Amino acid sequence: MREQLQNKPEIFIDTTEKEYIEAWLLAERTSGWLRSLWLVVFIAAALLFAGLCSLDWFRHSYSSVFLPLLLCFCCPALLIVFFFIIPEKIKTQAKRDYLTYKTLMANAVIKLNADTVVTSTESLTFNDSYALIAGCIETPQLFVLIKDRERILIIPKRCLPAENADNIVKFLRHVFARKRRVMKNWIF
Amino acid sequence: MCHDSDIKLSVLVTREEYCEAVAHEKKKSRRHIVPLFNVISAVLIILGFAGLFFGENILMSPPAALCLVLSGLIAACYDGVFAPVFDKAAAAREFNEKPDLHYATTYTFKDDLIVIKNEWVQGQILISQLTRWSETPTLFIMVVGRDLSISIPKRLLTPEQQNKLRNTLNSGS
Repeated sequence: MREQLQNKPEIFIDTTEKEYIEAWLLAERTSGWLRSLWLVVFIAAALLFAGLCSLDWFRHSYSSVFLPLLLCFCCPALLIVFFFIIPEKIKTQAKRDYLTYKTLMANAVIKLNADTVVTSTESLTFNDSYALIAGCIETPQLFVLIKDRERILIIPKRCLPAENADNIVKFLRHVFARKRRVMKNWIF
Repeated sequence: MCHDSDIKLSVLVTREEYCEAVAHEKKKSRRHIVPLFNVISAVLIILGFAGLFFGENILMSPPAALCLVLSGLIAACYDGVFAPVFDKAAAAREFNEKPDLHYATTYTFKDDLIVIKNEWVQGQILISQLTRWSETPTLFIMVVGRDLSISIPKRLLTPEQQNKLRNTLNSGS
């Protein structure tokens, strides 16, 4: 690989709870419950439009008002579920999981090899091949590597060694060129 | 250092074992809502029959009554018939998505820790670090948060080893 890192720097990872929660929201947005967020927005808008159109404006016939009102009500209900209830559930679960993650990933060091990323903790060593990583999300603060539905690898950009940060970012962008998704936050 | 009392296993979980175990786990987790399903199905079926026999008195058409009976039957059969099929299908998808399940793994169970070795992960975890463990008819499942999951098929263990593992897990967690 042309873009190999010459001296394979070690990245000391110290993920905060906020970053962990953000990473899980991003992961769910890419491949979980929140994946269809924009489809839900479209459906909610369509329901509101259908509801408003079928309301009997100016004819003063209230016989069929129930269904249009139900359609109009479904719009905010859908938005509340997908923008507040599900994210809140993900955050609660992530807060719970962070305690285990913190213990398991105590003093974790990540080494980016040519074909694998090796995560060494006090008691475990994880060896993940880039080819088997399902996706990579880049935000201004984080790199989130999605291993599968249950496992992610979080590389906060603030943890990158200053002298090598640009090279590492370039390397990760190159490795995950086809699987990389750039996001500002979990919504956009 | 491996003592005689340690349990050392080379494990490769099959798709069938995994699917069965996941379906069993999900059925167990649904246990508390099954009575609710039964009550809903009973109410729907009673309303449906009421509609069929006394439809004119309660302003319910026969097709609506039939729909209610059908919905009641579906709700009644959900836990026993439909949910296991959905759960097994979801588990099969999950099995395909988790590459670490496709590697043979060596586990050594010592008194208070588990040594793990495969292509994916190497090292050891304390039994006290397990966040959850459970037993299905085919597997012992141990979980450390979201990051690590250990499945041990019972077919690889003698009854004595199963008891020993059970006791170790009970005392450790």
